[in-house]
Amino acid sequence: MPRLKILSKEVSLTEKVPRGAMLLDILRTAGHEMYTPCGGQGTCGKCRVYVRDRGYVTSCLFPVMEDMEIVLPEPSEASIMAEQYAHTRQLPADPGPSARLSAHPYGVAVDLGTTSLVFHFVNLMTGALVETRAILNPQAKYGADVISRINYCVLNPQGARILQQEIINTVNAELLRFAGNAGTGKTDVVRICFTGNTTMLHILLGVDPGPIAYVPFTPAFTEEKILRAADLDLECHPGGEVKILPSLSAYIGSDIVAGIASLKPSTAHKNYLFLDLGTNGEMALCTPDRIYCCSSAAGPAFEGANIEHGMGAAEGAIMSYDGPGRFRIIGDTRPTGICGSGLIDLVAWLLAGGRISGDGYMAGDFIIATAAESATGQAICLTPKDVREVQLAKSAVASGINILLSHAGLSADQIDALYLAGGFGNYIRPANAASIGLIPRELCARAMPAGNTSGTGALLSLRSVSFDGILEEILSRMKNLELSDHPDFVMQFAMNMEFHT
Amino acid sequence: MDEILKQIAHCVEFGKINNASPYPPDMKGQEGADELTRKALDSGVPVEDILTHALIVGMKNVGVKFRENKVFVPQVLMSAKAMGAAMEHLKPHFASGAAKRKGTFIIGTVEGDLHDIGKNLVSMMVEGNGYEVIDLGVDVSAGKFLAEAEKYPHGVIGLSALLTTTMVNMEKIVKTIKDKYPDRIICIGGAPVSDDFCKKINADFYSPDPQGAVEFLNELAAG
Ligand code: B12
Ligand code: FES
Repeated sequence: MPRLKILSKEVSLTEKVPRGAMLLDILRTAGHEMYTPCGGQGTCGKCRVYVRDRGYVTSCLFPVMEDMEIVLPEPSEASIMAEQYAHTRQLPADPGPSARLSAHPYGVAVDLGTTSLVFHFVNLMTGALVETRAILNPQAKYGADVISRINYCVLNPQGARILQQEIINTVNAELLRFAGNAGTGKTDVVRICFTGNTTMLHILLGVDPGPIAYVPFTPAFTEEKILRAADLDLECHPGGEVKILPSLSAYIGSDIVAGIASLKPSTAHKNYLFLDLGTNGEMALCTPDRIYCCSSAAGPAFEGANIEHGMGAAEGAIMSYDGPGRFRIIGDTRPTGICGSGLIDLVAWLLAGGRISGDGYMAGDFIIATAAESATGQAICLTPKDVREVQLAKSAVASGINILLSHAGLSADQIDALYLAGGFGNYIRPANAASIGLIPRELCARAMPAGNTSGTGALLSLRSVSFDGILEEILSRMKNLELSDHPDFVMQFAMNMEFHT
Repeated sequence: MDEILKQIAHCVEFGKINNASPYPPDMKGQEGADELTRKALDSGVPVEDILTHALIVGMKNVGVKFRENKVFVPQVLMSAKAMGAAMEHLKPHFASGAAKRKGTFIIGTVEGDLHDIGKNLVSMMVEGNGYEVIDLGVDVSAGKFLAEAEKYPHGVIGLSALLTTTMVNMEKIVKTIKDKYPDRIICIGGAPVSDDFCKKINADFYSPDPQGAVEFLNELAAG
């Protein structure tokens, strides 16, 4: 058996490992969090680790045959914002009958994101928000996007159960941690509300998400579900109410439905656009009667995957760029890579200076930070292929927006507000997003971050039963547009890849 | 004669479809692949020469530039359209048997998957390089591939998949075809597909880009 020495910031340990086992699996078994957007398919290159005397290797494809020393990257906390925003709906506290299960009732609102889980702990007597926590989704090791998770469920007989257990265990750990800290008993938690994309909600209930990934994309359920905590073995009051908020379709989950319902735009705003710039690029155009929505499958470029030196919005990420040497990094460190908002700034800057031409051509790599400046000892650069990935992603979003506009019979200047959901919305600079053609130019002065709207939706539902009526009203107005069979999409998508300089 | 073939090749490479087309901006108002091909045929230029010295040259240039990241999807799409406009004039000659193509290529996006932009690019590049292309569209089952393989016994088969969930269907399709016709050549492509995956499922060839597929077919055709 080969011996493996693992060196990381906190620990160094040596262990005997089975010969021929994949390095990624070994590191995981040893308890190291590994970021693997492609789910260990060997295509994303993000699982690279440094092997002494050998250099960087793709750990998911690297069988360990002999003794070796591994140096792991420094751990980085995902930084997620979960705040209250000005245009968030306010509702009177009324948690419903389950609050009577305890003299000191508490509740938890959980946003099940593909990447992170956000928990809001609430005192149900007063409606006060006691604590907010954001942690990484433990399923991330099975792949970064929903399709990789579905794939895992399809290829492994117990897949959906295994992923379900990951979530339940994590939620339980949070419940117990909260009960410990707040000095309450675990049975004082009497109500839990979940939002999430349709796939995450299927997995939460242990339902096979397979059909979501294949034509004709029919989920097993989209309606609201009410269960008892004991049904899911949750560590709280066994009779507590567990509510899963309703979704619209396979790719418009309760995260989007509740997210839209959580907003209360100013009365002057008649038509507004809701944009969640994650991997699936969900968007909704809200008009006084209809709400048109679609998922534009933008891909993970703005989350760092498929970009040579891309990374999520974590410590060490270049988050904004204004020219050579003029960039900002998340945390007080040297840069390790570039995240979505930095990428948008950078491409906008390169376009303005003519280094990227209107058709997306860039002659060679552009160095953002030299090897001496970076934290990795390698130069951080943008490659011509990265620009192509940006073109695909931004065009998918732009084309989705155009199609929503044309269905609503509106032009971009008739849209009164653009709400950017998710952490990304806090960092992104609308003017640069417009420069690269991600959002219409008309909307950059009307764009505003909306925060974690899915989490806020779950929180509103937890605090107040009257949110149900609002959800129902929103759902009844929502119309899902399927882009796969949309006659204009392909041509739009191809042509919107160009930059308008 | 050389001059007009060069002009057609230029139109194909830069995506000039016809006189009316505003693209590319620097060729506005000029004749495109459509008019020039008609002219060439009318003045007696052999069909094979137009194919070999104009269309294939133009498609190859754009294919190589695409591989090298010098142009991208919109440009290739315009090139393909220009090629298509020229091809319309040549088709009757192929259909009548008066002129020959290099071989047949059967392509489709696999079961469960509707992504077809990449597949269409491959299909058009292959066609522009002198092959007859049987495009089966999207969400194509193993049975359908097999039936078409039987219809065109010398056709090379191409599979495309863009989802990690549907790329596994390639394995099933390859097996279905190879169980009956072990010598049948199958190439695969699409963003999540890799060379390792190609080997694993027993397909014959993988290419990350259309030009690779064209070169592979050319090698086969050369014997
Ligand atoms: C456009 C697009 C769509 C369009 C498709 C329109 C159409 N008619 O094709 C729409 C919006 C309808 C769509 C829908 C979906 N999509 Co989509 N889509 C994309 C997107 C943005 C671009 C894909 C593309 O066209 N690329 C450009 C072409 C030219 O490249 P290509 O296809 O790779 O082809 C090249 C090579 O691969 C090669 N090649 C291709 N085929 C072949 C074959 C052979 C034989 C050879 C040799 C070579 C070869 O040559 C081509 C040219 O170089 C990507 C994300 C991205 N940024 O890449 C997501 C993406 C592929 N989609 C994805 C998903 C999940 C979906 C959906 C399932 C869900 C959703 N969120 O909407 C649906 C369902 C569709 C279905 N089941 O088929 C995921 C897949 C994730 C995964 N892990 O598998 C991606 C990566 C986005 C994401 N969310 O991460 N999508
Ligand atoms: S390349 Fe190893 S996880 Fe993606």
